[in-house]
Amino acid sequence: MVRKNVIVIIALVLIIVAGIIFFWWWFGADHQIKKLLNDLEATASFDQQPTLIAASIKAERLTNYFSPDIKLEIKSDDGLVELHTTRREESKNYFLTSIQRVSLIDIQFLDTQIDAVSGRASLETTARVKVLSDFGETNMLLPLRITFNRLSGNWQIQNVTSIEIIKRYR
Amino acid sequence: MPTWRHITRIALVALAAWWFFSHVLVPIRISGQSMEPTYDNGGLNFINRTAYWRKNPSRGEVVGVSFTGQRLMLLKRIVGLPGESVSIVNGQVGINGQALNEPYVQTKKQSWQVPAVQLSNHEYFVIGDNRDTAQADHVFGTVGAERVVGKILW
Repeated sequence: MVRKNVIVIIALVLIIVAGIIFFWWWFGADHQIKKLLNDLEATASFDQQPTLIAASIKAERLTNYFSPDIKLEIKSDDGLVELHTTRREESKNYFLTSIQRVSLIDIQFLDTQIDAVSGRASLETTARVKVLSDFGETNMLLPLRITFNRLSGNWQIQNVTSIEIIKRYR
Repeated sequence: MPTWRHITRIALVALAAWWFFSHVLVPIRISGQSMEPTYDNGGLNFINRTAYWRKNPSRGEVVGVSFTGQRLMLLKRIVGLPGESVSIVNGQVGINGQALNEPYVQTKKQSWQVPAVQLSNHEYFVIGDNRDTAQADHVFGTVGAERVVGKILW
């Protein structure tokens, strides 16, 4: 009888410990940021030629992933659809300069290494980008360093810079 | 019916295999033409991560250069060692002003030009074996020692 009670107590303790570990993992920065990257992959990828309206909707959805001081806007000039990202303090980052007659963009984040410290996080990841356009298929590997801020409980992208793996000479 | 002993053995073997193939011999599938004809596009191989535990990479060795983890790597040959000066004149690699003999380059050398680059104490100069491409299309240059993951197995 005593032995049975001990087993029950041990089982309960193990379940509680597993629950706490799961809670920490689920709400931890690593999991939340990886989940955000997965959502970002889905939002930024498309498999149909985007119209200006479709691209605008995508840009509007993408805005949710970025810090409020980053403004995303769609511009169109003679059918050329451009996604511009602009910081309020006047400096400009152009993530994607143009989408023209593109039939597919597939983005995957691989080899993600996250370093999170109290409300701030930085990560290194490699974006594998596949673009199918009038010019054929283009595959790119873009090593990136992304910094995040936690605002109102949500992680948001603050900055994206490319990492130079091999310093090239041309 | 499998017993707990069998399940434990299978789990231990799986764990050991996972550890071995992620920390000792990392399997790779080669994608691209930059190391042809030595390594063809689509070929399978392994990166030996233990190769540089006791010694530093040597000239002529083919190594894996990591991006931001282990799933994606560049496969390149080391031609310049820390502290050396590397230059390329009309496709010919020079080390400290002396032409480097490269028997592994069997393609036509395009007239690449790189003025002398002085490597620091923790940098290597890496390049692919296929030199029959435009200079701008071939990824080569200096890489930090921390990015060299290991040596190709064969």
